[in-house]
Amino acid sequence: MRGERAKGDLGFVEPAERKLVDDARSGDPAAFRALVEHYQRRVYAVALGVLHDPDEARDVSQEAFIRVYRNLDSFQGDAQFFTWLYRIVMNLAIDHLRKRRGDRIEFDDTLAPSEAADPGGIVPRRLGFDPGRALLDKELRAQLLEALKKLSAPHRAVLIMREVEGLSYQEMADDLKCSIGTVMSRLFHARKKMQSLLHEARNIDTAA
Amino acid sequence: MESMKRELELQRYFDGEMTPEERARFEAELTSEERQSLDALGEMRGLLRDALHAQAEGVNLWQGIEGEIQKGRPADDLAKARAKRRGLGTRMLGLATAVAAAAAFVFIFQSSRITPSNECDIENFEVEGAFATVLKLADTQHGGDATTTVVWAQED
Repeated sequence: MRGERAKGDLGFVEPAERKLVDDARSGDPAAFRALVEHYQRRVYAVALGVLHDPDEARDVSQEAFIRVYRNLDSFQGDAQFFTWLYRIVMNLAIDHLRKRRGDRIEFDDTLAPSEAADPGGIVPRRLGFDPGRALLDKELRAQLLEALKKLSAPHRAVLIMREVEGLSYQEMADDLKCSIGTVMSRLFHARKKMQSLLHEARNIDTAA
Repeated sequence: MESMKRELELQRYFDGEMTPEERARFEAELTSEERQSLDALGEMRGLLRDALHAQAEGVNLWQGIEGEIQKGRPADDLAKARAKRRGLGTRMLGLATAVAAAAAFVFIFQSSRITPSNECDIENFEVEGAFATVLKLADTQHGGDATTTVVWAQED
C-alpha cells in the first residue's frame, strides 16, 4: 500500500516534467533551473523538518539538487522525479544528523525516559487552532518548530516522512532500513510526544 | 497491552494503511473518543505541513546550485578527461617518437657499416595516428646470424 502523497505541492504534469528532465540531461541549465524552482520549497521543508537548522537545511537541499544533476543519466524514467529527489535529500539529511558533532543519533527504538514513561496514547483533544489563521500565526509556527526540535532525530524523521511527505510505512521502512513495526512504534511515540509538547506550549501561552 | 494495540490500529487507520475490509470493520467499531483522536491527529498533520511549508516560502536555492551546475556533469567531465588524455597521449607519443628516432639515428650513425640487408623484415604499423616502421637489420658488428630491430616512429 502506498502512502498518500502530500497535496500541498503537486508535481508537474508528467510529460512536462519528463521534458525538463530530458532537456537538463542534454545540458540545458534553464530546464534544470525550472525543476529546482518548482521543487525547492518542498525539498527545503523536508530538510528543515529533519535537521531543524535553516543553514544546514539549505546546504543539504542544494547538495541534493547538485547530486541529482550529476546523476541525471542514471535517473530511471519509470520513477517520479520528486520521489528520486526526495530520497536523496532525506538520506543526506539523515547522514548529516549522524555526523553532527555531539548529537548522538541512534536510529533504534530506545525511547528517551520522558517518552517511555507516559503510557497514554494519542491525545483525543484538538489544539483548537484555526487552520485559516495558522499560516499567518508566527507564534504558532514557532511553537510547532520548537516542539519538533525537542523530538529525537528518529522520531522527527518519521514524522516528517509521514506527515509532510505522506510516505507509506513500507517506504519509510525501506528508507530508514528498519521494520514496519519499528516505523509504527516511532511514529506513534513521535505523535504522542508532539501533541504533548504542543498542549504544554499552548497551556503556558494561555496562562501567560 | 490491548489499549496499545488499539492505538496502533487507530494510527494505521489514520495513515491509510488498512485494507478496505479492515478499514470498514475498524470504522464500524470507532468510539467517539477515537474519532476525536483522529481529529486531533489530522489537526496536527495540517499544522505541521503548514508550518514547514511556510518556513520554506521564499527560499531560493538556485544561486548556490548554479555555480556547481556550470562545472558540468560527470558525463561532460568524462568527455573532457578523455580529450585531455588524448592530448596527453599524443604528446607522449611525440616524445617517444623523438626518443626512438634519436636512438635509431645514433645506432645507425655508430653502425655506419651496417645497412639493411635484403633479408630484413620490414613492417609498418600505426598507433593512435602515428606511423612507425620496424626495421630488422643484420648485425654485422657481432657477426653470425645476429640481428637488431629498430622501430622508427614518425608523427603525422
